[in-house]
Amino acid sequence: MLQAIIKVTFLEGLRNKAVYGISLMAGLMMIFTVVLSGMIMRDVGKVATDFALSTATFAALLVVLFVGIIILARDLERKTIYLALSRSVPRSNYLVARFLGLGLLQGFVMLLLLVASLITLVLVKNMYARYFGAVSLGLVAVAHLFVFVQMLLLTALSILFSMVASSPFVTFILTILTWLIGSSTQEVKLLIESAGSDKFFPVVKILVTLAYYLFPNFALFDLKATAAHGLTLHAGKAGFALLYGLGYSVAVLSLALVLFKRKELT
Amino acid sequence: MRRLTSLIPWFTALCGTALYLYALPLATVKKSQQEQLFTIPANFLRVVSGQFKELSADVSFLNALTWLGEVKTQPDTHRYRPEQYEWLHNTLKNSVALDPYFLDPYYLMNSALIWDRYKLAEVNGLIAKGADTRSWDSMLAFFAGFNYYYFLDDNDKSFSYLKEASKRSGGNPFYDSLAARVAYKANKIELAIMYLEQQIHELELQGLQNQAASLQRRLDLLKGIHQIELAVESYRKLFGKLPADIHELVKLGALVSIPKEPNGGSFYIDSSGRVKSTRLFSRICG
Amino acid sequence: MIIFEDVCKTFQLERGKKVSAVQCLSLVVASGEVFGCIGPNGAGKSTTIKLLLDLIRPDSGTITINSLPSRDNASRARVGYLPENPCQYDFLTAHEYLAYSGNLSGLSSSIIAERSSLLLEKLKLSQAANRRISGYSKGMQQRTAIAAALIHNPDLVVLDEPMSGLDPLGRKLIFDLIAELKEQGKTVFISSHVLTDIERLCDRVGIIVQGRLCHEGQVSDLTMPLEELFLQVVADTGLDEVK
Ligand SMILES: Nc1ncnc2c1ncn2[C@@H]1O[C@H](COP(=O)(O)OP(=O)(O)OP(=O)(O)O)[C@@H](O)[C@H]1O
Ligand SMILES: [Mg+2]
Repeated sequence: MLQAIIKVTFLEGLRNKAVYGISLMAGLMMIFTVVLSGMIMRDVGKVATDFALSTATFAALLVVLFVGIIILARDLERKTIYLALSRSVPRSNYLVARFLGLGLLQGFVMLLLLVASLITLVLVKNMYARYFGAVSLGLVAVAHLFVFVQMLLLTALSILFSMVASSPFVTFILTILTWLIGSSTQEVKLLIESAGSDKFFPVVKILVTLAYYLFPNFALFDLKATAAHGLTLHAGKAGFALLYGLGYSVAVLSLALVLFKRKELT
Repeated sequence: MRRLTSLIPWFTALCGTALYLYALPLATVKKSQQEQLFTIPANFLRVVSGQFKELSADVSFLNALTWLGEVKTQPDTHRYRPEQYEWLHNTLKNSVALDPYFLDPYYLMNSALIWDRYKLAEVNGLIAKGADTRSWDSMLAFFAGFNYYYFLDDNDKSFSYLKEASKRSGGNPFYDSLAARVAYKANKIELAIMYLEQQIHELELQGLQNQAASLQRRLDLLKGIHQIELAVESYRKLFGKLPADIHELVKLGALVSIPKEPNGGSFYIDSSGRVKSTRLFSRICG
Repeated sequence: MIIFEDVCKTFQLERGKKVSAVQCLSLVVASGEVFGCIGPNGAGKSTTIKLLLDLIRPDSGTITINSLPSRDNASRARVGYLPENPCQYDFLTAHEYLAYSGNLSGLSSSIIAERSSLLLEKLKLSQAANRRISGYSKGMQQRTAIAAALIHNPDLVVLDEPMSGLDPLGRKLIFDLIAELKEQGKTVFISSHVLTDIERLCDRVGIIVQGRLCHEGQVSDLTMPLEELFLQVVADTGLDEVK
């Protein structure tokens, strides 16, 4: 029963035109990366890695925004959800299965992106072997994993938002804002802390600290610099980020479940 | 379905915002020489680029690079205008602020700002910081070390960075010999000639003939000055006074011929016995 | 057996306005009975059905299916539901959709294959069964939805306007299908505007007007045509416009 819902979710994603559009964009970006590498003087590998990983992040984000949110919204809006819920499928199972289905889809897309990134980087490495720098292909793979976990969390958040939002647009806006803010809070906090006490009003500091703890810290999942320069990835930090992402997802999903159980599906 | 199609504007808006954010640094590039140049504060860029800091760093750098490829120096001084230097400096500084590990902007700072003596202490400070951040890289340590000696007269720092470069490169004898010359306070021009020859060799290996040619001009200039200075030195040893002009050196056979000034000016000996060029640029560089 | 006991449902509209969709509804549908629910547009028929299936929750009152409260998922284990204006996952083929529907009730794949080919045959959909539903006409979609509602051979079948969008042939098919369900002893709850069908198929009818059950009785006891009764009941409530 769970499997059936997961499978339908995955299929819906795969048969969605948006996925092809996003893949096409990612493919073009990867080709562009190879072309661009010729312009760089020294750190060719680093720039290629930045572009590949940024493309992967952006594409994964688009999958959450334009496939994940749409699948859930359409299910509620067109009442296709009735078929499952008019049987003895518990609502909690339905939502969890939907989440897992979207996760599977996201994982599949991430795998494609990883393959594309690796092909791009190996190509660049062969073309500019002398200037490939300290790029670590292993860390590039780990960085993709981190993007995946990050997008799982964002998917969970979008599910939560779709439970409270009045329309898919609102869900869309809330999701993207959360991602944008969550990607920057750490930076803003560091900035304010390093600026000295008199430069900012205390109110600003409180607001920033509040935002830092209120929004998920997506910067934790950003391994672009680590992979591009082959820096050391501390096992403790990496483990913390993974646990943080998964734990946060579970918490958000549980909250969404509580709301979903009470939701009127008119 | 209708809701879906009405998502299209949002999609466009999103892509637009994304493009805008990551092309922000690009907004500063303009083709003509007359326009206003501005850069966005680095802190702001760091915050808005979120998880795309590195990408933003790359774009900033490419921006500076393409600008350098398009913009010409002023014909009389062979220099850019002050606001152009400032823009270049800020743009490269942004790139480094966004990704402190990124080698290329340091490299460009060194070749485009240091040698034109723009904010020497500050720019070389950035390069030295880059050398510290890229703790495995010998090139930046070498640049920082050379600049400390040649431009900033800081022999201690120079020595320690050159030693560091030697260590990081696994004992490259070139860095060692530079460090040794710094230690016994050798002639600056000799050091610069060594440096430039090495750089030109590197650039030619990479096929960057244009940039190699511009360094070659500098090298020719320094070699000319060095040659004349050696002759002046031997004249002084012989006669106990300075020669009246360069032609006297040729007449006496201390110089075979007067070296050609590569920038179209000519060399002269000033009252303190130093050799200079009549071109402003050459004077600054020498 | 379905029991509604004093069920009320009010919808909150924008700016504090309210609509009483169902008011103090008490109703019993016995097992093996075919119950017809009729009423003008906006009377509350669909709302009643959604309440029964726990898709929405009553403000007060209780609903039980086979003595299990409707809030219990287990109460719907053997229920088949055809929503009004059904929409399927139109990226699937009818085959895939029926398999999904069967899996939701935990059917094995062999039973799914057997049941779905039987139902597709009965509903004259076999030819199109491997095409995506997005390419189906309205009536074909309606038939697919009916097949999906019946795949697990439910004991209680809830049909919200099963005839909408169907051609005369399709109506005949569905009519026969419901008659067959009746013969098999299934409990059927139909809401419909096609009174002649209701008259011929149902054991009992209930007329809902403005959320109230205004008339309820055996079809066999009717002294006049159902349509006449319907118009009379509606006229008695003083309703002259849909609310
Ligand atoms: N989601 C909702 N929000 C607000 N009001 C609603 C909602 N759904 C139904 N209603 C109201 O409840 C009342 C009953 O609606 P319902 O859909 O049950 O009618 P119906 O009897 O099925 O009508 P029809 O024959 O047209 O299908 C109507 O007045 C309608 O406006
Ligand atoms: Mg209705």
